[in-house]
Amino acid sequence: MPGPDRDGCLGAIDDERARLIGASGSGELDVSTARLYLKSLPRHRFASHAYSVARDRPYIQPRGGFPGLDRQRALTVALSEAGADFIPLTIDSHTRHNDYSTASALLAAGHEQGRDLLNGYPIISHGVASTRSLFEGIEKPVSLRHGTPDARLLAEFALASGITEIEGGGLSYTLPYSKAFPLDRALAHWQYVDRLCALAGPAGLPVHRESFGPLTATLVPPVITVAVQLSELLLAVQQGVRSFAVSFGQTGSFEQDIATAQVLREQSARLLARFGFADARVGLVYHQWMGAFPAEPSLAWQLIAVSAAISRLIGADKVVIKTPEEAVGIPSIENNAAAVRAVRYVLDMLPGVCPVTNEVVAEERELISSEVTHLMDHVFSQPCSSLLSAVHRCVLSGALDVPFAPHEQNAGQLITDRGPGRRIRILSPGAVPLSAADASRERDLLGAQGDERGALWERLLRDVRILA
Amino acid sequence: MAPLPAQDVNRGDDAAGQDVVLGVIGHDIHVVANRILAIGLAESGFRPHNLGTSNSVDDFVDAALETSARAVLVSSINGEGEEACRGIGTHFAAAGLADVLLYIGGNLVIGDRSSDSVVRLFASYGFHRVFHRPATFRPLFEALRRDLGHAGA
Repeated sequence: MPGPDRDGCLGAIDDERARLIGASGSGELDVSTARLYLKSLPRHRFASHAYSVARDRPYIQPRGGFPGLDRQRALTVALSEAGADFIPLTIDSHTRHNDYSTASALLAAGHEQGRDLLNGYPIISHGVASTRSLFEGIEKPVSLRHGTPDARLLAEFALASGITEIEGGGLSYTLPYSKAFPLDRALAHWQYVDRLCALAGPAGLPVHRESFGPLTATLVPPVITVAVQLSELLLAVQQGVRSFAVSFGQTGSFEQDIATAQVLREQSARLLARFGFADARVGLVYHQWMGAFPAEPSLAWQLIAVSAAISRLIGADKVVIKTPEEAVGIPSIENNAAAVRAVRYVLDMLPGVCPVTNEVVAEERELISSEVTHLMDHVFSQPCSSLLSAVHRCVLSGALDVPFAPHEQNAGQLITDRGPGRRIRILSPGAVPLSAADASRERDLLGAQGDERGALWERLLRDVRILA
Repeated sequence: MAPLPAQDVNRGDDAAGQDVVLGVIGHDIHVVANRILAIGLAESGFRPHNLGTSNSVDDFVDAALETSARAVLVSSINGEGEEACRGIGTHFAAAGLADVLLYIGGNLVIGDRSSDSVVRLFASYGFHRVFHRPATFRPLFEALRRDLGHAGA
């Protein structure tokens, strides 16, 4: 394929935007609403501004979405007062699957019955004016947290509501979140979202995009995490996105976390320079443990504290946090705010930390970097006319294979295991193109094999609850 | 590169193995246990045909017809199975598959109910074995080996 350059950019998309907005039946917005509203906001509402200024600790990003307006406003105020640097808006799963009428019906029914029938905030149902009012007087950027293969209308509503950071991507919000949404369509819809983000912000304050690195959060090896992040970074900058964050979830191994962070930063810079996108700014986001959480609050707090410390020690720009009620369900406002205060307390405990390194970290970094270079070269060498097609082709062939992804187009042939130091190892690469040396290194690092370690299924089953 | 035992596990193409269909029922995207179960079935000598997540009873019937599997393992993690599995035995019988073993396992109902009442409920739908909130797959594999052995005798 030709290198991903701006020739692959969608250009003007106002016709498609006008059709999409028109078809939604919303009388609240047109193609200029988002641009005009974003222009009216102070710069402290922009995620890209936050990423552009110096900071001495990672920004704190909670998650949170209630169906009703009043409760979401109360959550927003409580999180802000607790010290959150980024305000979340987490979307319900019906809206994520573009079923806006069910979301609206359940919002109304829940209101009547006085209980929540949605697991997040249905932004299309509430509309732009109501959603804007959630953030009145809050001088902080708002981040859209969801899990949507076709987020075009969602992004239109979000930007028009003053949200300046959109999480997700064609791979990261499809493979872990959907069984049957066609991947090529999802990738094309995310090109639209990237292009919209590139066009909507005022000069010097672009809308920020963030990828979702944790993926299935189940034994995903660093090479896959990094390759998905790099693919989505390049797809986004190709559409003109200038402020982007790559991310990953706590692996369970401190050394692998440090190494993954380093490789993500190095490889992002390397590829942006290689393809002539050096004007894009890339941040690094760390997700606290995304696997099963302990039900006992006293243990959950320890996990949150250690995750917070790691986010500081790897030099993350932002940490997406969990709450002690993670194992139980959607956290209360108080619990969510308490988690923000706790993470802030831990981060302040570690001022001016220097980069941590040792032999194991160096070894992991070298291996992950070599695997990533090999895999990305494989992506770039596809006989395709665009990066989008090359990425699509690599998922179908199993070169990009996300362990435990429910999507029917994901190969599911890559098998991983946890080795010494709880580090994630590739037991069987499936169709992921590892060099012979790297594949053999992975096996060596796994140590004892076969019968000595018992049945694979039993180890995997235990691993799912390794920190629970 | 030397072949890995796990690659065989992954393909699950042990010709001597018995065909088994597995999948998650309902609008249920929980895939982790499903995938581990497929690996475990292959490791235990069965030949798994994995439908993955979000299946209906008809999907299981079709898969059993296509594969001639003698056992179908339905799982449900979000409690949807209580509605979605109603009458499953009748469906299989109507398709001429009355002799196919039907198992169900997972987190089968919402809220706390006695294990006995959950087993009775799903047995009344036509399941031959019910595993409510099992801690491990070991009893499942043992039962499957026993039941398929008897069925083949």
